[in-house]
Amino acid sequence: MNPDIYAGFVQASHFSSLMATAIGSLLGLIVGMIPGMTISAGIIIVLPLTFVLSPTISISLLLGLYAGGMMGGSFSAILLNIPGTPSASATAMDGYPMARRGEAGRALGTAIVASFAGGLFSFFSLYFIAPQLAEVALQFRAPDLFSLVFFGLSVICSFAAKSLVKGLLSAMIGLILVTIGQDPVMGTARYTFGDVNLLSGIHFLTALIGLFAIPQLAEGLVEAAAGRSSHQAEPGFGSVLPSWADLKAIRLPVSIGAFIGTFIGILPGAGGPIAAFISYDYAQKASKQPEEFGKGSIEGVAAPEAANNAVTGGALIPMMTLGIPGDPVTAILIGALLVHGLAPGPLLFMEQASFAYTIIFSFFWANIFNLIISLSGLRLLVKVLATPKSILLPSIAVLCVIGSFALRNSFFDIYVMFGFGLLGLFMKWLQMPVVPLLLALVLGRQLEEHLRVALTASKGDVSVFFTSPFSVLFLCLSAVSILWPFISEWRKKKFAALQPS
Amino acid sequence: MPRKNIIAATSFLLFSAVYGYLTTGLIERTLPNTPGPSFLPWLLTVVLVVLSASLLAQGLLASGGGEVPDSAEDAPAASPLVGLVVFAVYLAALPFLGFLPASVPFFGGLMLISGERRIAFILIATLAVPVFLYSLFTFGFQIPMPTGSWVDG
Repeated sequence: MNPDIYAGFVQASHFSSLMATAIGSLLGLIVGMIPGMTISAGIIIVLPLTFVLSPTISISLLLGLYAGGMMGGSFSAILLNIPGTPSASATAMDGYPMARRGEAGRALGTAIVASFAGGLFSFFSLYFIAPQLAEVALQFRAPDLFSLVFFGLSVICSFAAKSLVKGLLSAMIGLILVTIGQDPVMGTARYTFGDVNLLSGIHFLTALIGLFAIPQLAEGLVEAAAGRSSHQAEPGFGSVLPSWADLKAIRLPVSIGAFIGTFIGILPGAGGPIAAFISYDYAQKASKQPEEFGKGSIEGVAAPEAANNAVTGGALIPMMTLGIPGDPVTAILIGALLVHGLAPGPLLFMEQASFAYTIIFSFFWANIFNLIISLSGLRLLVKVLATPKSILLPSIAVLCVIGSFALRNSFFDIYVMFGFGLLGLFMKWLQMPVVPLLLALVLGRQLEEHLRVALTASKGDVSVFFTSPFSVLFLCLSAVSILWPFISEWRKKKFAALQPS
Repeated sequence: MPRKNIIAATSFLLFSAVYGYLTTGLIERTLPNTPGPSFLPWLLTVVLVVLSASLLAQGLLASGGGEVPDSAEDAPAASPLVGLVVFAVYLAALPFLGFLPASVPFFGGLMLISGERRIAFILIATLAVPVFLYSLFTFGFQIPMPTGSWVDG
């Protein structure tokens, strides 16, 4: 066996790592279950802890939370018809009708098993694809890396925004904010106004805490004012262990969901909700009883649940091998790794190969713990749904302060966090997506560095971006992703015009 | 939506003007024939102007085309605004009072804004949660918490 794989497995299977993964899974299941709490918010809450923990334990905790959050979202979707996470929206369509006719336990058990299967499939994809992709990525030079980062940004914009212009504007704001501080090539101070706090730029995690947590706090206050202070699930839901017949019935939808989820997870920006709905649609088409979908079909629960959990492993592939985050959670994971001096990307597999495999095996353990904790402790877990918002909201606010202060022990970061929170609220009011801004914050510095290094090496000749096959490939993909919304709109209009009045 | 687009586009155009002005003041320190520190900022300024103009055009065309104006329900609710003001006051007080003395009243205030009316519950939670978090991070994880110049000296 490859010694790095062995070392990674041993690290991930160490007692402290396993404990961290199990705690992360438990927290993730809780966070995912609470409607209105996103996985990103959950990760932000535990982030300050990771600054003092070792990288292995930190990543084990965060991966457990990521995978657990995806699974936890389905519990409130099934029991309350309120998806705990956006990725669980498709699960509610059949899960809740099942719960209403007294089959909540069966629906929950199916969701747990399907999530586990989806997660396991994506683990194997991660294990086999990531090292190969990293090997290819090692051949990338500055022009290729620039085009790759540009592709990552373009895909995110086209997926994240209902309006392409607003998505691109959001990304522009992110890129502009990245220019604050020392420039990455010459070290010249830019837009610092003589303030030493700004010399090292705006810390990505501080911005992220504000962008995600403050709008969440405001939303929670709106809900609390509307009288939705907590949610109460029905007390009894029977056995959650699926029968043999149910396991046989969900084989095909789980396979469809696992495959689609992993594939969509690899694409930056697509995320869990898209994967869940696409696999729901395919599972319905492949089903022998498609008319049962939407009325409480067990296949309709299995397919989206397998898909949204498979997205997690899929999203880790571009994060680990290319340093490109697939969704906000992987963007936070990149930030958490950077705090420990570990930069995700192709070099991770070369310079820190055993740690790269630790991440992969921690993800495996996260799926195992999700299954064990969910099946054994579901009855206790659902009681969390009754947590009053009056406790939850002030706790989130205080944890935001702790998280942003702990980064550099600076009050300045707390104010930056609050400023970003206000920006997030303004963008929400404008119906402008926040995700492109966030990802531009993650990728912006790399974008500038690779662009300027490539142009310096070529003495200002821009043709360098069109002579490398990798760069051309990524630029073509970027063009497709930017033009795709227009093509799709044009096709819709053409189709509508062809319809008889 | 058209009104929001116009507001957003105008804000971004103003912002790009300020950003462009600040970019003119950047020190140019680079190798010959290679892009300097102001290269990307200029590129971003141009793209920002183009995108803002495009959003402005969208907003103006939509408002001229008789599209439904933004509804009154878009107006922000009172409790989040009060909550944000309380949060801002808390952050302003933090460097002077330190974590615990500032967090205790803030926690209680936000509980009240969240609709909690059980006084005993508020009192217990207001003391218990910040103290628990303070002890957990300070003694459990050895993470320094904000100290206040008035209280902690």
